[in-house]
Amino acid sequence: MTTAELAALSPLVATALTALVAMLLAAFRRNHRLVFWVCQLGLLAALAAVHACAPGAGTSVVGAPAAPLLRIDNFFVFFATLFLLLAMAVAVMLAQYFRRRPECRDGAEEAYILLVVAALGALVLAAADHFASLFIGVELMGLASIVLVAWPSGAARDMDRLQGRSLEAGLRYLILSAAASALLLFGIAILYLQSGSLAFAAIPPRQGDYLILLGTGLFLAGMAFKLSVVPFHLWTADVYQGAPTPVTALIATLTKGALIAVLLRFLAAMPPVQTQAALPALVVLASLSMVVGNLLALRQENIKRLLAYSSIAHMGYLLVPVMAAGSGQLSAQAVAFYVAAYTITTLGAFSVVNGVSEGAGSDGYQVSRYRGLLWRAPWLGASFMLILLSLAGIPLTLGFVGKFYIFAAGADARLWLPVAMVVVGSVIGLYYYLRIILAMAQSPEGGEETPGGWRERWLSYGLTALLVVLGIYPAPLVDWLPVL
Amino acid sequence: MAGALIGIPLLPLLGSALLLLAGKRLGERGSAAVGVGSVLLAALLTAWVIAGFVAGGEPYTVTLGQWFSVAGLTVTPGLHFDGLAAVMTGVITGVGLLIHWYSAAYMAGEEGYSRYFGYLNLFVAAMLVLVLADNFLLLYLGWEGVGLCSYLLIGFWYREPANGYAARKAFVVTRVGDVALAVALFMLVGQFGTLHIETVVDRAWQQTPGTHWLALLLLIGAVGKSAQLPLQTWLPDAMAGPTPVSALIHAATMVTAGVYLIARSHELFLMAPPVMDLVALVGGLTLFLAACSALVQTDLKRILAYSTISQIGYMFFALGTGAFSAAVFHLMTHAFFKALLFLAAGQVILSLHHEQDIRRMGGLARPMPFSLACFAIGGAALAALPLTAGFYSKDAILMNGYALAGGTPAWFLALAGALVTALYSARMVLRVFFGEAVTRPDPDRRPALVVPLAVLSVLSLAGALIPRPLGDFFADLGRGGVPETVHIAVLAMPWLGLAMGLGFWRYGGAVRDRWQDSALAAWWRRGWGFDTAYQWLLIRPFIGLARANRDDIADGLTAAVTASGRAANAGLSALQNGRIRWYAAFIAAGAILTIALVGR
Repeated sequence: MTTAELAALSPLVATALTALVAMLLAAFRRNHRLVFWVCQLGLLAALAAVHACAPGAGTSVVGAPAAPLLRIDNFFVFFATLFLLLAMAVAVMLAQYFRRRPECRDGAEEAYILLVVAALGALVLAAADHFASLFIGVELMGLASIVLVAWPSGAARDMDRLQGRSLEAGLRYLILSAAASALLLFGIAILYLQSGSLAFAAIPPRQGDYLILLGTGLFLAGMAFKLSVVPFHLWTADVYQGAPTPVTALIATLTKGALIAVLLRFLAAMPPVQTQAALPALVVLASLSMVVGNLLALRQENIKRLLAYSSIAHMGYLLVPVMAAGSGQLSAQAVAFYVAAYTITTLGAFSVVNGVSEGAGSDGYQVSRYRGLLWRAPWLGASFMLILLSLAGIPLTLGFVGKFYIFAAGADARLWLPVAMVVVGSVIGLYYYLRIILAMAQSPEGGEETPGGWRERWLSYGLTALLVVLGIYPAPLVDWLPVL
Repeated sequence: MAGALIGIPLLPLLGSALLLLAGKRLGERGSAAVGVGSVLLAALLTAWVIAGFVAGGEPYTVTLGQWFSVAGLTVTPGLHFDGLAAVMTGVITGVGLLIHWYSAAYMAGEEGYSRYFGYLNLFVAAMLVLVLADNFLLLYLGWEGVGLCSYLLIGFWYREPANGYAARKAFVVTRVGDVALAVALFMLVGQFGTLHIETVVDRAWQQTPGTHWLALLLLIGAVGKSAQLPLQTWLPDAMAGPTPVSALIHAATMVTAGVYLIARSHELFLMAPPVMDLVALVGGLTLFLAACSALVQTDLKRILAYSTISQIGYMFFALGTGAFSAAVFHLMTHAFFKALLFLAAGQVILSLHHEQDIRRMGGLARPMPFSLACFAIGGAALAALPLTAGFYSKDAILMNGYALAGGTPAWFLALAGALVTALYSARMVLRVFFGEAVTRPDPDRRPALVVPLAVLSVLSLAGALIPRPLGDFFADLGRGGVPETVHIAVLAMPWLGLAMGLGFWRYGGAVRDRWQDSALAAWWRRGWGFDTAYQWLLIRPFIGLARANRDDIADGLTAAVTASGRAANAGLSALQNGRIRWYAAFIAAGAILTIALVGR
């Protein structure tokens, strides 16, 4: 291993060290505040390392140059930055969650550590150019989030019920995820059989090779499950609902963003013949996701389930520029921008939900809980309204610019059916986003209090400000978009 | 002079604003003072401006500033004063003043007194804008303004549903014409790129294609506003408004707006000879049909309404034959004598406690000699008996019409119409003032009622002497000679009609009764069945359509989208049953689907 390779690896090393240090600290002295700050500092150091040690425009590879395990390029820099910031934000949300639910605080240290491990998996995926690194990334991230989904531990009054639900969600996620990992591995094995290499680019450009097609199909099915794309979406709502809200935010953003990044890299690295062969499957999966996801959200009364279905639809939108991979630079830019927009917006949504619903009892997640929010807590309500408008893709928000990129990339690659489906899906989607806004605008019934002050809400306000500012003036983000 | 010109429409407008905003606080006296005063000032200003114009003789324009400039169309409306505008403003402010004066007494004690004067002032302002506009768009503003005031005043006594219906009918029917006028404006912008009247008219000489359509659309607009065939049906019902309103709006001024429009853009019409012929034919048919209807009406105001339609028909006939100045002449004299007749009728109606049916009148000559005198003068002018103003103007129309166009069918209709006009004038005066008294009158001789009547009587007699400073506004058309026999026929018709009327009155009792009961008379009384025809051809199918579409058919489409969305939502939600086996089965199915699609 050369020094250059070591330097390129430094963000991953920094993140891994953070997890180790935090684990050791927790072993000696359980103090969740201390672990929180150590993790934040470690992630910050990794962020610094991404920008300090990663080559500016060039690329350095780790592993054999012919079949690199990791590729550290500006694509990695963009996504690594995004994921590290995201992990820091989720850590803040976790801290807020534990503050609101002292009964869950027992063992909170491990939650931060698992979060850092998941971030490490995401960083690996952002750089992966090889099936081995891909699988390591997927499993690092997946296993960490399974534990997080089943989080609430300890022995408080309503813990049994709460834990029961989380545990059930975690178990369900574990079993199904394992099945999907099996599909993924089987697909990788078949591809290896035909190419003799685990590198993405090594897949032979043979047309009509059934084993390659079978391998690609199995690989895509496994990825589609992890991305919760229709018809692999059934687990999504249950897991989103069962998990603690910060964890839901994590699996809705970090997992999805990292998998999309690696899928894009995979499709771009594959020979064009094979990418073309995969196209029909991607078109169908994306179209189904956009329509079915939005339809499922239509009359959903539980806000976390609603956001789950919404994320299914958003994955459908995201697949449009992904399948345009290989037909121009616009694809990678659109994916990067949309992932950033989706991450900021979805994090904002869950941070509001975290503030409004957590600790509000069993019906806290009902849409009716948001009734009159614009009157009870005008700033929080306005911020949630903007977040929902951004999810719906209304102009002057980040969501609109992202959707514009998707249209541009889709039209550029002449993917007319998926682009038409984006339109259909957006129209249906508008209905349920506006339904929540309507509920928020209605006069509040009774003297329901909205807990929390600035300490609970600054993250929501910050993310809202970001999505409005970048929605009106997206140039800073646009300038920073990577090329693949 | 410029300021004075702007002041003419501005004063009534301010009066209207004051009355409508603070009318309640002004009280009856204050409202009358503001309402009549503003028109009085406008009339004085008009007199001064006209005097200045006659002395100077040059038309001039006062630009009001730029309204808007968009897509190559810049509208800088202004007020334009020339001979035609002088005649129109003179009539509007002069007759308007007298009718305001009369109204002050006529409407005394009515609910909504200040509202009445507010609307009436607004009407005068809008009408003045209409005739002073140098731009078709500003003209259209006035055009719609008078339409609005007409609607408001027909339905002034809005508690009676029939009045509201009449107001809506007037509004909707005239709207047909208004739409045509709007389309004409769009075409003007398309063809000439401007709405400035003088520019348009100047360029009309260059024979642009489409002038025919333009002229036709303007004609439809004029026909709607001036209650000509086939859009005349609203005017008889418009009599639901107070009688002074009928006098001002539905006789003297607003209904002549169509005549003014054609006169103002006559160069355009001269470029479209077929449309000119159509104008004449519309006028001829209207004047004859309406005169026949007037002959059999039993409601005093409806007689006058049909008579108004008929007289405007004469003006259209004159316009169509190219006798533009004769048309404007008749417009002026008609304003005098028809206002006189309406106001006198108002006095009679008031004295008979709001009785309008002439079958319950009679023998009013003795108790109400002044009204008789007014009616006699007005009727004589209407019938065009010599020495009245109406004689000169109608003579000019018939003689010029023959000289310019010859003995067309329209001309013969106009000639026959002259006879019928004299006949129904005679019938009206005789039925109301002679014979046996049916109802005891309670004569009302308030000076505020009497003075305007006296002034209008003088004008109806000597109005023809008022100089009309039209100058060479209307191009002189070459004219043929008029045979002596034609002239004799024209002169004889009113006398013949009068003689017939007297004859039927004195000797033809049985014939008269049988005629009044005949089916033909009933048909005429219903205005030749136009209302019935429209009822069957337009209103009923429309209402039927509206009924059939009560649950908006187009809504079904959106409802279907919603319903299918909900159904899909329900179906898909049912799949989310929480069973891991089921979920795993779905993953297997999805994997098979993906592989199949990749292998395709």
